[in-house]
Amino acid sequence: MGLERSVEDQVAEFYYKAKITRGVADRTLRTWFTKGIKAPDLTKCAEVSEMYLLYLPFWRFIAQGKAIACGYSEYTEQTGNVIRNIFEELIDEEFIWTECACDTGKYGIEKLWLDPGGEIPYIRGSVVSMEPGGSAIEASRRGREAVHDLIQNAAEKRIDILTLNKSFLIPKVFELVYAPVWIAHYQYKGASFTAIVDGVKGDVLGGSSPINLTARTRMMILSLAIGGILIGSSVAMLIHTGPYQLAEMFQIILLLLGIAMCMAGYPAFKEGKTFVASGTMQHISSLRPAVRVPKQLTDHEILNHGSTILQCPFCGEEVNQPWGEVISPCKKCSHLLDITADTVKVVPYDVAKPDLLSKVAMEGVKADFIPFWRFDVDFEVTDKLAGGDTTTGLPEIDGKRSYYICAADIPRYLAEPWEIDMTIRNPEIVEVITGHEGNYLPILINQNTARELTEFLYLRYETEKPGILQVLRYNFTVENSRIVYIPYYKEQGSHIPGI
Amino acid sequence: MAEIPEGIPAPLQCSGVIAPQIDEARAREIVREWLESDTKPFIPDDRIRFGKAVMLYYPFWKYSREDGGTDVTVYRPACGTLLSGLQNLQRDGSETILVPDDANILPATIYSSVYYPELHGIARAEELIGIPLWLISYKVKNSIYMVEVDAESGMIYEEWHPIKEPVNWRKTAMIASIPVMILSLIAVYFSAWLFLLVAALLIFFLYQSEMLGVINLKRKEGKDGA
Repeated sequence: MGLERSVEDQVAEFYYKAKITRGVADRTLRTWFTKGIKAPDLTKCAEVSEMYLLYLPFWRFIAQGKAIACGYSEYTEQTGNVIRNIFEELIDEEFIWTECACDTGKYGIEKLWLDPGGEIPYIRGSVVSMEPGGSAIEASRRGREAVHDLIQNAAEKRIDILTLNKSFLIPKVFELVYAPVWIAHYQYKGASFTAIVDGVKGDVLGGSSPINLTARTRMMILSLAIGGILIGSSVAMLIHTGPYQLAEMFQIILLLLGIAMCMAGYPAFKEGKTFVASGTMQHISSLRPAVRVPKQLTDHEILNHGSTILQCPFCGEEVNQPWGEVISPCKKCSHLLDITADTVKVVPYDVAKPDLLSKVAMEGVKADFIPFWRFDVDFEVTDKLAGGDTTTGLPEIDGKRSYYICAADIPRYLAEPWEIDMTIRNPEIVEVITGHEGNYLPILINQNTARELTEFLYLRYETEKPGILQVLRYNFTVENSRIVYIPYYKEQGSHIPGI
Repeated sequence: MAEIPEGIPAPLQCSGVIAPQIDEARAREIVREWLESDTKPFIPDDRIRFGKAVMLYYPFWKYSREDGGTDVTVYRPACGTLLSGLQNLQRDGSETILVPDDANILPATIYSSVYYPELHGIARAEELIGIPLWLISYKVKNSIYMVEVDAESGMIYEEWHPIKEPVNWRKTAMIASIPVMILSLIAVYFSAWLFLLVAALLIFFLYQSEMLGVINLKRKEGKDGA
């Protein structure tokens, strides 16, 4: 349990600084009183008993979503012709998932309304904040699942029948973000209400207020009176047509319409509330401040925790699990370690020697050693179908070859061309046994994510070829994997490969 | 207990708590009396079902200050809360005791310095104490509500509560629909001009909607005529 707890405590915490003062929040609230179907004398009669600044915690998971979806949609023309549109969708976007980490009960604030940017590190106890509840690990899992669904939905949006559908998720950030809100408790004719004002933008986020009963009564009278007129007129016409020569069907429709208006209008306005509110008040027990509860461990995990101290397999140095997908070097022996909650795996690595040409050309410039995952892969394509003109001069990258995935914090738009280039070229790498002087970038993508990126790299390459890909079936086997540090020289903002 | 990882400050501990004077039965009684009183626009006819009652000690910073020659004591919550009535808590001469072993005390998460900018006077002392509150839930129809009772003074801090509907919706619906229905029927039989009467009636109903709908705003008379 101790290990899990310490991992949970390592989640990065940030907060947005409040930009709205109490006076502005109060003015926003007074303006809100005059909007919507609230009691008309609310501005005059409401008395604000408390108004205070509070920071609400939110889990935020940011991931790069990658997906390939191929398929078609069909529709039938009036002439009976069936038109088939074929699609090839490529998704490569950033997805953000947020969830309130405390219970805001009746106020119904579930998601963070602020975009990333402008946050500063959060120091516990330095501001009045709600305590985040639940487990960070569980929240991270929920975020991952939700983003997966978002990616799938984005990819499948236009396609009715899917013939190829692959999606991948590259986690970027998982953090706890605190957003400031002004909480206003106010009284109106003996009843208590609450409103929440955004402390950054100054909008009212939620809350409750007395409703305009006159408007509600009038709406009910109007709907029932119109219903009554329709029923009365249509019944009279059905019994005796008089001067109105309307088709019987039309009269019946009028009658049914009248009945429907009465039946819908009465419950709609009767069941309405005397107050308007966002959210519900279902979780009464959790209204008290939340307490951080670490993830509930399974029996298997408890057994492993009880008997396993995480150690470097080479030197025996005790290691701690870092938060996120980080491969960290052992402090004692410098071996690269992939540390999870239960296991420590050694990651083999090589350092590529800069070639002679680059050494001469970049003399005096220190190389940046950028880590790449190198997967020796066997890509066996069993079935492939593409529509349109598929003539291409691009080389095939299926079969047995090494795939390279950048593992450092390099923007993907820069890293992807390097990956494609090295995967196509499969350069000869001369390893440095004793290491090489230079700046070694940290590894921020673990093996599982890199493996997914490998598959996506192939799929992306195939979709970028001419024609519209429809079917692609393959066997993907990873035979070997390791980290390769490849030297790059920085010159005028661009990177020049040293191999 | 697991070791506190480096970089995480040690939790704040209450030096004492205010002794609770009210037990669960009395707290429930206070809430019942409050709910059944006619001073608030509640729903007196609906059945109120009481749920769980939990006594929690909320951590508060107690600041003792000397302001303009007088001693002032200010309480501010030491944990984030959405409950109402806790921001400007007032209390005089409360007896403070040691934290009981079985006390259900919420963790303090706010440093005392957070409130310094809003305090006045010369600082004399400050301490972290627990203030006992009974949180009692109750259900009206299908909605759950909660009320807080100060376990020392018996004071009620009202939260979200049911609000009485001052409109007789059935009566409003009958008045709005039946006359116009009959008039429309007659208008079709006899003369379309009668529809003008229907329209006039509808306008009258809309204009007088408060008379039709909001008709039982009068408070009920108590047994003693109060």
